[in-house]
Amino acid sequence: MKSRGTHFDDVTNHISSLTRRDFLRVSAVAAALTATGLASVAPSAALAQVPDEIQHMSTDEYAVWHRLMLALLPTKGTTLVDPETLPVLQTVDGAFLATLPPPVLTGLKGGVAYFNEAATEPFGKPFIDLNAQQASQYCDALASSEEVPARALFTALKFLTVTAYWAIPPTWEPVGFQGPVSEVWGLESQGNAPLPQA
Amino acid sequence: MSQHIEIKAHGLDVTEAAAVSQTKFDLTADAVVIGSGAGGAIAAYELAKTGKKVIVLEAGRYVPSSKMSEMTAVSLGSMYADQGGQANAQGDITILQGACVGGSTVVNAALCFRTPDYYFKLWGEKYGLTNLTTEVMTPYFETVEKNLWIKENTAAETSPGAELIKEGLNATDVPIGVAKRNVKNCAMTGFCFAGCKTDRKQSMLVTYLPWAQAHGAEIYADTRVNTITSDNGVANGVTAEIINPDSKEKVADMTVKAPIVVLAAGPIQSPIILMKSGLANSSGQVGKNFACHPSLSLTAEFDEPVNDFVGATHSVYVDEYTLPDDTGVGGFILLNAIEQPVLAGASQNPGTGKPYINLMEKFANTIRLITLLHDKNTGDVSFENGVKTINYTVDDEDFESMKDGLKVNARTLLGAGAAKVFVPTTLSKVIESEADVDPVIDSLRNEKSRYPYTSFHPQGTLRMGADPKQTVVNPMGETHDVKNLYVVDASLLPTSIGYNPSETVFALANYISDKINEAHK
Repeated sequence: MKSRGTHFDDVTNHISSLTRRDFLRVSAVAAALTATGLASVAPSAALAQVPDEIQHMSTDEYAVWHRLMLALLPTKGTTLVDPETLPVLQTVDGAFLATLPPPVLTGLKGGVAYFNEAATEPFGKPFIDLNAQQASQYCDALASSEEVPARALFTALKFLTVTAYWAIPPTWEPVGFQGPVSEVWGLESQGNAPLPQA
Repeated sequence: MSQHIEIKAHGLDVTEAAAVSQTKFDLTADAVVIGSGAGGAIAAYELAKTGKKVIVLEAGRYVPSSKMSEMTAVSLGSMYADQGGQANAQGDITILQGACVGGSTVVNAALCFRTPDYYFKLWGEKYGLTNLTTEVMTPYFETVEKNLWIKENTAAETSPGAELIKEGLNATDVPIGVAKRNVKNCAMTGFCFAGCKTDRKQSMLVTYLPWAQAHGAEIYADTRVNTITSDNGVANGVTAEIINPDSKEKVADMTVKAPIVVLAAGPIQSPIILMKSGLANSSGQVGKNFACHPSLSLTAEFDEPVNDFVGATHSVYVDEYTLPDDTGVGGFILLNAIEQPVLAGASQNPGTGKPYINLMEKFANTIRLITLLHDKNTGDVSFENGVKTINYTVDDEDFESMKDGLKVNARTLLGAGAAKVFVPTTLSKVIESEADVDPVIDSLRNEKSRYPYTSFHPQGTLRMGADPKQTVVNPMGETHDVKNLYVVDASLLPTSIGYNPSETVFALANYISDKINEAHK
């Protein structure tokens, strides 16, 4: 735990206090949590350009997702594909957010806003403005929090982002996964089974 | 008779929303079957072959095998309940369930077990199901095993990960179970969870549904039943809607008048349909007694690449510790599984950023071994204001069983030569030697949203038994309250059965179908 830096305990304590606020539980893709009374994500620095395909994230929400993607998937210097070259957040948007019932999507948006703002107290700035080390510390603090909503929220956001990344075929080759094989192997369909004999 | 009946070589004739031009269907049949999975398809065939006109209504899409992509993410979106996102209310147990023509049989890994004699005895003693004995049910198991090509894996039907796990089990003197699966000429693509593109898996899509259709059954996809209708305590049909699965817009209303209604929408939807219908709940047990076999996978990292990407999805299991102990607390099954990056990529979190990337860079060096918990029936399914809720958390006693299972699991993987074993908490713990196993696993606490559970086996919710005050369905499969309303899916199970429930459902559906045919000649 010490290796996570001096901010770790501060972050954990801060999350613990904040997550006792008015979270509402919703049934969602993972656990989408909403913090009532929180402002929407405030415009801030480091906003990434929102791709045209994004339909269910505001510009501010996209900035949070984008920063989270970079924190979760720092592939520079590795064999893995840079997530910035892939439609990761378009996949989050189109494959996950688009399928959520409106109340659940609203809850998740509240969770994204909370996730961003809750970094302000320990770090003096929202999540989107944290450097790489701070972002990792913050995420690890949420993941290991004793507060259920904190770790549920982080787990949900991480799940959606990471799953979207690995759903994109170009990410597979560096880990040795070849993708679909039936056509490559020339397999023929067996078709329907014959009627059982009495 | 049967030798003169034509079976389509490939696919089914299914009425889908996209092809519907009329806005109202008023249909009549001898039997309407709600759901086309393990139970519904078997009932459809068994009823249709006696000459009954059968209509099958499936809420999910029709995805013929020729259209299957072998892309797990695509399959989750098109063939699973809630696009693969179905979860308990807490959101920490993903409950994977097929939602397509053929149901979960299309997207499961085809593992089959006969119902152990232990449960038939238990159900007889505790729930009055004295009709369901091993002696009575054995012919049904034999029939479905023959029809669905349920056979033990050959020596070649394995995977690189399974072979390592066998070494680990041998090293720790744990008996190895060889999987039995309903697969014919397995091509070992490892894509069971995405559907079998070349029809090797003998799912309902290529067996009982085409057979039912050959006997005249009609199949409607994209058709969600809203209510079961009845008159003076006797079921007489359903109301339904055909809904475009892409636009979510209603295409048509439907009524089906039928003197036999067979409910097989699965343990989540079947109780909801009864709740919406206001039927069969004098016991107050509709939706209660939910169990789901929550599972956790340990990830083992080896020094060299294993490339556990293709092969038989399931090959080996351990059921040495499955049946309940003297106190009634259930055990666990260990089960190998090929899991591709999109399924396994989010299961471990050794630390945000570089620690995660380091693990995933070595994904080819990793294998997974599932601990599947034989849980108690402590949950329920509710439906209020149009929203379904699965209220279920892992029970404290069950969690201790999970820990026992994780210990055996970790020792197996270490015995196989793993350099590291990752335990999937929200911040993964790492086991690097035998000395770590007990301290690491003992440190786990039963906490919400701490572990990424996955469930493949929802069950319970319409418990079967002799007492109408404690159960929903009678020993013949008919609801206590409503005559001619039958249930043939995994919601019937009075208790969690510890093992994959597919074959139990196959056999029970066949048994109950016989009872229906005896009552409706």
